[in-house]
Amino acid sequence: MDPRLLPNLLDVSFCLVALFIAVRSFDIYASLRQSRLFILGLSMVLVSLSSAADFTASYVKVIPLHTDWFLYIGQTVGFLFILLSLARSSEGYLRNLMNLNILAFVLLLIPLLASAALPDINPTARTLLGTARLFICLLILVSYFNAYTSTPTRFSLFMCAAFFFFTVDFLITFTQYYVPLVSQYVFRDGGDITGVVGLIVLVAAVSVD
Amino acid sequence: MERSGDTFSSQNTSGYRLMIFRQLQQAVESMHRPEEMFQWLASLIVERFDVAIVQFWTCEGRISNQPTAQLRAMASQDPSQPAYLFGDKVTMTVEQLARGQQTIGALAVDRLFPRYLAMLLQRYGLTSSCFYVAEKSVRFPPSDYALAQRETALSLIALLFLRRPANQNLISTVGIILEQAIVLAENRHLLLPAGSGPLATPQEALIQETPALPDLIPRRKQDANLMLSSNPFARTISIADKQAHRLYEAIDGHLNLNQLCGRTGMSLLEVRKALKELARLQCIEIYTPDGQPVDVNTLFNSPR
Repeated sequence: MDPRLLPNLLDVSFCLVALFIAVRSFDIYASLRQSRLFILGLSMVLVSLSSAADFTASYVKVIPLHTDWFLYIGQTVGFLFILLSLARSSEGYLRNLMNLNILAFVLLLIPLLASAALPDINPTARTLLGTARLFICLLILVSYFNAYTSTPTRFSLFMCAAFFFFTVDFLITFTQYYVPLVSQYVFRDGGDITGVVGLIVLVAAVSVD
Repeated sequence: MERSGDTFSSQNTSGYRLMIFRQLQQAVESMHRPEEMFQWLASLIVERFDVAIVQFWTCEGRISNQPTAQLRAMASQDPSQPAYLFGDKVTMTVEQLARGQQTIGALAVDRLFPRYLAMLLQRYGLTSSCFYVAEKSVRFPPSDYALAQRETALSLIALLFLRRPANQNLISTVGIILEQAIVLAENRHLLLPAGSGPLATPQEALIQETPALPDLIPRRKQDANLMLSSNPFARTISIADKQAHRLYEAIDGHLNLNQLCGRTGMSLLEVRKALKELARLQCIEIYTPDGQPVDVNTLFNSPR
């Protein structure tokens, strides 16, 4: 089996699902003007772009594209804005967050466009960014768990489950660098499968009425 | 020299005037608010006198640093013409007309409005305009927050935009129609005499405690449960009503309703209706200028 099959499957799935959620969010935002939807949309564009960049980098061999920077930072920042948007619901807060999200999005295009010029991500940066991504994902999971315990709905349950799988995925991906080399593939594949399951649950969450 | 077929000949205008007065006498029976009457009049003037746009404004009589001009009704001959564009921009001119000495006038647009506005109007083929200012000791009834607490007299201004040179006969006729309409509205208690005592019923008293409607600030309501316990993509409410949607688009959390009237080119009556629709859809929250929330149900359950 091609060792890149599962990571690529995850990248493509992540990219398409995030893009679907982004388009749908912007579509509804255009009529409802709910700031949270805009933040979700832009964050999902970021997540989608990061997966697309990672997928592209694995095939482009002419020049080495170091898209790991953008993959980690993009996903971390994307999830961070989703988490922050869930924290409060006042209009002023969400409006400021929206502006900040736009600014962050523009700034994050720099590591994407400069991926050919950037050095390969070093272990320290990978650990820091991986921890941040894992921690933020865990906090989103806690937010949905709280939402489910206060108002049990199918949506919050599905979202809770989706972010549980993402957290496990990021945790396994994070720990793969601290295990013996022979076990790394097992960890990585396990993480990717968990990520794909998380995406399926996420699609179910936003599709179920 | 008057031509027999001229719309603005004194015979024609006096005939139209009588006919409009009789029709208004009948129509006013079923009206509940003064804005309805002004809207009716605006539509009829557009239709009968070949006027491109008719606007009815009110301006408070007292001297104030704050602009008090409010667009109450508007009718446009050409539905495709963005007449609401002119609502916001002519506010200052209306203020000046209300404070000025002249109560009647027919002028080319470049002599009445600022240069940029005159150019905009001319671009739409509106070359001349005329106005009539009626100063009256009347106020709007308590169901309208705008003037429920204000006992000062009002200036009612008819502003007409035309595609040909304005005729003095036309504006005189419109002036007479407006004066007659105000008398009719007073008789039907659509308009109340200024300083006619305190508001009577408890509901009215409650309204009196609420700041004037134009001073209230609507804010878009952010659904606290959206994305947490409710699916943002399921059963989304869309604002089907065009005016409600336009108002919703203009709400920025800072502008009050008076300013939103200017921004959207809607009259206060239209804004009130749109606001009611938005409140029904639970899309908005309303606050006083001090930041205190206003009970939307109380606001819209006021007597009509």
